[in-house]
Amino acid sequence: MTRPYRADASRRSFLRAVSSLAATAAIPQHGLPLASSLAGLAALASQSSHAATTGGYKALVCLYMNGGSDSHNWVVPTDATGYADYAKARGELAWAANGLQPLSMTGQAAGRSFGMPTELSPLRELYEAGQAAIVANVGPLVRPINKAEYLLGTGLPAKLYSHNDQASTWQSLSPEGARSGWGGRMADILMSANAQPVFTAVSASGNAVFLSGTSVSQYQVGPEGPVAASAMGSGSVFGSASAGAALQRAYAAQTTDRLQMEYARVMQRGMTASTTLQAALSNVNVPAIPSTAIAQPNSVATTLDKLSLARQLRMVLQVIAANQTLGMRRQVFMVQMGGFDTHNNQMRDQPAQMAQVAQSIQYFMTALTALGLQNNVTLFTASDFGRTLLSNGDGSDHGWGSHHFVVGGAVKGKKIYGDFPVTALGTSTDVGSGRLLPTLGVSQLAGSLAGWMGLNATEQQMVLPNLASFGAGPSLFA
Amino acid sequence: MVTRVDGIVVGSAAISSADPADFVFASSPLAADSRVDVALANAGTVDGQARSLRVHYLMSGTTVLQPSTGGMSFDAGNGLAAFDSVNAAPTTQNLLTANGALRSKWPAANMTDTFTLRASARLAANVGPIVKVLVDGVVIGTVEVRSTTPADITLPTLPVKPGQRVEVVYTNAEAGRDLQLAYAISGKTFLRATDNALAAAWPEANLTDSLLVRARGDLAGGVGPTMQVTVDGILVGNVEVRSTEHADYRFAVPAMTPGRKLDIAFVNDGVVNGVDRNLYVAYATTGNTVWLPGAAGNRYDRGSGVAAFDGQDVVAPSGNMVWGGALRTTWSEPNITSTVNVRASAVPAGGVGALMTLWVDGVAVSAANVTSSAPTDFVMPTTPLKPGSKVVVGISNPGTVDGTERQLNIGYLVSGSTFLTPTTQGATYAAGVLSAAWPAANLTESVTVRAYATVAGGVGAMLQLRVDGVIVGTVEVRSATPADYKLAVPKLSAGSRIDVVYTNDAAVNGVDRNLFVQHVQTSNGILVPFASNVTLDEGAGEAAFDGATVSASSGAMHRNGALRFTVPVATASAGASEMAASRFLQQASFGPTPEDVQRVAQIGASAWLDEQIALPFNADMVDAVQSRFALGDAYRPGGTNYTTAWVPQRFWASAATSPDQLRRRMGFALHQILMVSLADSSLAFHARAYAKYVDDINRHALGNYRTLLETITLSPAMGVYLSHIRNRPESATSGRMPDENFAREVMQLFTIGLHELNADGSLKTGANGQPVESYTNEDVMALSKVFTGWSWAFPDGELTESVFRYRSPDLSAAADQRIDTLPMKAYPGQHSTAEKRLFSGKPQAVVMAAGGSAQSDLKTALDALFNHPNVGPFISRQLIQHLVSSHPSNAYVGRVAAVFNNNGKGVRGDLAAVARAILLDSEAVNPPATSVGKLREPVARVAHWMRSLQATSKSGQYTIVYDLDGIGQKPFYAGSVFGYFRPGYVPPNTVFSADSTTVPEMQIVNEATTAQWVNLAQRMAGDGLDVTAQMQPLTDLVSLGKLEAVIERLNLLLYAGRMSSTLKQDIMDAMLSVSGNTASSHLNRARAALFLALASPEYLVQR
Repeated sequence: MTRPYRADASRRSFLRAVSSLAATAAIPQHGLPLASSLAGLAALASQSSHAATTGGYKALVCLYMNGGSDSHNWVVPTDATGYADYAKARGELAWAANGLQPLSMTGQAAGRSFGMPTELSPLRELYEAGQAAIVANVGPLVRPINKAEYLLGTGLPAKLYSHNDQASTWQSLSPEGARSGWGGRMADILMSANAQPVFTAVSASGNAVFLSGTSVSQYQVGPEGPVAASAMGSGSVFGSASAGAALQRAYAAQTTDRLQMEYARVMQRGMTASTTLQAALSNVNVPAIPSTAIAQPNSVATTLDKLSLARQLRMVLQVIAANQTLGMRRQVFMVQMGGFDTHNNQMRDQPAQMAQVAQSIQYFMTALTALGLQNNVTLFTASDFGRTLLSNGDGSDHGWGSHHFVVGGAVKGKKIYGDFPVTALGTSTDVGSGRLLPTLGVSQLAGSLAGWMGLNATEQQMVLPNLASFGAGPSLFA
Repeated sequence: MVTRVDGIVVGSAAISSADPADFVFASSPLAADSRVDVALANAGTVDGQARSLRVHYLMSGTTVLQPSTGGMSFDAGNGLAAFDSVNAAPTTQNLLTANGALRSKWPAANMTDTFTLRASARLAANVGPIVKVLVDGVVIGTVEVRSTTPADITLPTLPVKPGQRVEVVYTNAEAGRDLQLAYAISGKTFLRATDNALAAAWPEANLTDSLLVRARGDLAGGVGPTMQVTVDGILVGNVEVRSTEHADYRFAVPAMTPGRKLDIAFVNDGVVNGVDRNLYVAYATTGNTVWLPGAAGNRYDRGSGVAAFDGQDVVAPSGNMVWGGALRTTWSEPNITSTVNVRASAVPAGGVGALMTLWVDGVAVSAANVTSSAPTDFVMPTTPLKPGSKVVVGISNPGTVDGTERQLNIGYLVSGSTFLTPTTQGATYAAGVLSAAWPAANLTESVTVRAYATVAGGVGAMLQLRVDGVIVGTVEVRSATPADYKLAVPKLSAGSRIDVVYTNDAAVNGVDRNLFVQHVQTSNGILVPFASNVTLDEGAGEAAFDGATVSASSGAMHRNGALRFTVPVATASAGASEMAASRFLQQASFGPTPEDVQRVAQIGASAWLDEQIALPFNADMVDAVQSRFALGDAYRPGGTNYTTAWVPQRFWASAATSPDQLRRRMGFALHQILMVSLADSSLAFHARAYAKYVDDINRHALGNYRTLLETITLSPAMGVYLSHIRNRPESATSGRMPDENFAREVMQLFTIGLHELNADGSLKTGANGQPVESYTNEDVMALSKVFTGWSWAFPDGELTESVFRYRSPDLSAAADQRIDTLPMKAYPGQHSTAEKRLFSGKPQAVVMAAGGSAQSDLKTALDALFNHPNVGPFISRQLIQHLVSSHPSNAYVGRVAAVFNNNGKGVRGDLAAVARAILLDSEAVNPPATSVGKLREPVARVAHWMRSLQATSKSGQYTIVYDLDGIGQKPFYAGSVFGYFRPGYVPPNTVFSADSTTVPEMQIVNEATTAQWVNLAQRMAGDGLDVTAQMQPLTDLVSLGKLEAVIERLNLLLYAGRMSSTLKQDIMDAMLSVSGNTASSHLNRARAALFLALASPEYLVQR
């Protein structure tokens, strides 16, 4: 069930910072040192103690696939037994063997081999180049459980198979309604390393709980960069010399109306930050997105540079490239793509999704390399849940565990981490219809990523309160 | 010494006194220019001692000749040689050491002044003290003082000059004889005796004030009363009052500082032939003080002589002195402390202007000489004017010279907060005399002129303010930036004329002085120079009001003239019922129109709901798509002109114009619960099916939820979106399972939600204290079997498995059967025949026996879901959130859910009753202070703008397609089945997270969407969308100068009366800051106002 997130040590350090701030700055009425102003946040960040190792520059990018990606088809057994099991369970959802390209090394048991669809070729190449790893059968867990426990209903995460709840759980370890995600909680600890704490957690794709911390709020950057309200503070709006200034005052004013206040607070944060970010971005030079053709079901073909995911990643690249200008050392980003809830038309839609994801990641890594930052940035994929192995005739249904990718120059790639399950029905990891009982907790994956970002063991547990319930996570980094 | 007059020796004398002594010679009368010589005839030196003669002066009658004053010459010589004009030279020497003559012409009488000595004496041997009075060494008199009471002895004297020695010499002191000297006085100077002696340098003039005593007398025996005026014991005046009418008598007095003692004595009371002599004193005044005889603190000491000052026989003070005596007082602090501005003009006669005197309570407090024929301001001193003070101002020198009558014209009087005109009630005005009781304060209001100026030659622009012709004030405008100048005015009313007059236009050293008037703030509202009823009448003086050289104005005054405003009828702000109506319509519709507000205000919310519920359903969505399809295959799926955007376009058109607003608003709320999104590419070719889905929702939006649920379940658009169309039964052979998609979401989102709820929407908790999940994955899997066997509604004869699985409607013009507009059909053999158990172990448990039909299973399952106790609170709370409040109280949810459960007639799921319950609930009508309200979702903001501003589409198609992309809610393109935002959303790190307040719309609020809204608002206020606001009503108000009305209109229609005073002021300032008076500047003002109203954070919250 839901366990409210508690991070007492972190909270203490922030409360200390608050009390020392209180002498000089007004604290928002709800008692938390919110990012109501950049100056306030910077002051807070500079006073919060942290033990995290925050040398150099590091960024973590979450590529979130909305709807629950059917990863059974992303990494497919290719040894004879494995593929036969797979094909039998999947029926019309099975990828043709000749549409799979082999992974030369996997680290799994002898005799097992795996391949990836041709559409994922760019991702497979990164894997082969040692810049990408696969994390097998990872999913939300309260603690490690076996199938028997599942069937008894003990130790289960709340609201399995529900989109919004499992999306939230992947991002925060709690179902919908969670107030902070583990990306944001990492940012809480890391923001003190940054000269511009407001840009510690940056979303290129709307609000997501992943990036909310207990003191950090996500910063939303538009797909084309920070969005400015041109009239705010303008000297002439419809010929009025005062309207722009009046509007600026209106958004800066205090009011007892809570909704209005919160709305204005977001606006204020955006206005201040957008100026800073716009200036910083004017100095960066990120390679353009190639106009690679991407087939799209049910509509005309398009090219990578027209698609949202690649454009979001390009925006993230720009912010990353500005890290020195902005004085950033640790950042967490989120990009998103939708359409993965493939109840139907799966075989029509999935290839295009794979191609888009793989080519976007390839562009991202290529651009990072051009910037010389390929070892400073790690991207990982996440999604609501995996899906059923069983077909419903035209697609698959909501599952649980799934396979994901961790990409970056720092990653010990060319390896499948965790136990890749037997892709068949009725196994010890099949909780029904080929829904996978995860053998790695999201917390374990997150802990490994947090460790790379510089969080020590104590801090990892603050961010991931159930981490202690698990054994060692995957050692994804050298 | 030899003395000659006109050449004749009148005498000679041997002078042996070393001290000055008088030598008297008989002479013919000395006339002016008589030649007078005084000669020394026997100069010489004996025993080393030189003989000399000193001639101090010559005196005759009232003439004194002093060598020291110049004008004499010394003619040296012996004998006649002293008179031969040889060896003569002008001299001022009076010492003669050689023979010769001091020669001169006798001057005109020069002892023209008087010298008065006040003294008393005690006689000895019946002889009083004999005193010699010397002024500058000249003995002007030798007199015996015989009066035993202080009395005046007056002697002629040369004008006594400051610094000249004045001496009174007592010559015959003897035991028993006594001299008491009080003071000497001459001209405007007095000198007090010191230690009973007067021997001092004459002081500077010290009777420098002029005391005016107004008095009249009763004469007796031809003699008027004698009035003696004494200041600090010094008798400064002694006159016979012969005038029987009040007349002014002036006396030189010391500076009348407060505290001086003033006595006005009547010294010759008497009765002659039965006629009593009396003195009547009206008042005395000097400087800024006026004294009235009857004032408190005065004394009337009756008696004659010293008895008038003895403190005996004192009676009540009165200016009517019918007994001898003295009116005694102590001079008071100044009381002519006020001024009154009198505007007057005159017709002079004989070159003499009109003498204008101001009388207050009978006292002429000031006067002025009016010569100008143009009205001119005179600032006249006065005692403070109190309501009721009798004020008379008028001409005091009427007359006719050479046929011209001297005239005075009074315009008005202004003092402090009061003005008086000849037309003021109770005033009389005749023959140049205005008489009235001073009115109560009538400049009780103020206006504020915001203006700036170019200063030239160090002088700013003089701004004069007139109200109905009365100049109520003048200020110098020096500020280079707009500044406020506040002036008192009479109570303004509709029609009052306000003129802002610029009076000192000039160019100094090449700098042109100008005045720029931005606006005039009055209690009746703001007046703006650019309004169509304001004129600029150029010209100086009266030419500024002559109606010539008149133009429209933007407030810039480059030349002298008047900006002429008329106070309009005050803007009637909307009444409480209109505001309440507008507020209700924000909740119940896509926004209030002026007509709707009137309608609701008229008939009330409940009756309006009745009207709305009675309106027939109009299936306009499918029609909208169909009308495009009718244009040919290019407009059908796959065609180049085809787009799904026709559905949202029709949505916008209906939101803007359709009369069935309640249905539409409920429909959009239900769409967000029963979500199908065009963002799913599977629906890309199904614009018409999607239109049918929207029509379906609208059709049942005020119907029954059970019907709606089934309609939506069988909607092909829903079937495609949640993939239960073509959903196949499980297969034992392949292991295939039915699609769970719709099965899951119909429970999680469309009916019962994840957790068991109490009747008020609060969570039930289980034995472990945790929420109870309302269904399991087994329920999802069972329900997935229920929703098998449904596909496109091809004709009954064609329902084969092949058609079921593979055939899609042919939407080409040639083959279109409109299959996509029909509910899905059950296909034989495609339905799961397994037993289906729902909610096992719970009170809602249902078993659908094996072998049931697709239709019967669907009915049973939907009945089970619809009758689940969660549905009422689950759906009700979300509907409340969409219409009224983001975080309704549990009680509110409970009240609405109860109506959902039973509409009062035993019917469950009556959505019209639910809508009524939501909208008329006390928490909707009078939200508690703690209510969080509701953040307006972007669609509502835009729709509200369209309705309130009567927006129209340029294309006629309401092509709002991409405009809302940046602000997170593009209608019908939600990101997923979870909608645009979640009903349970609590934004992290906010005040809301502290107490888990749900504010769904905050989920799409971020740094980007907030900024984009401001940008969109700017376009909505401008002309940037296909849909544009009708600005004419606002622009018309602007051009009439009715800026408050602009704000009130926005406040009513967009804010339902909740606009803050700060925002009102900001909007006002924004309109005022737009320059110019053209139509386009008026439009810009309206746009700036609308922009601020839309973009302000206040607008984002609906309460």
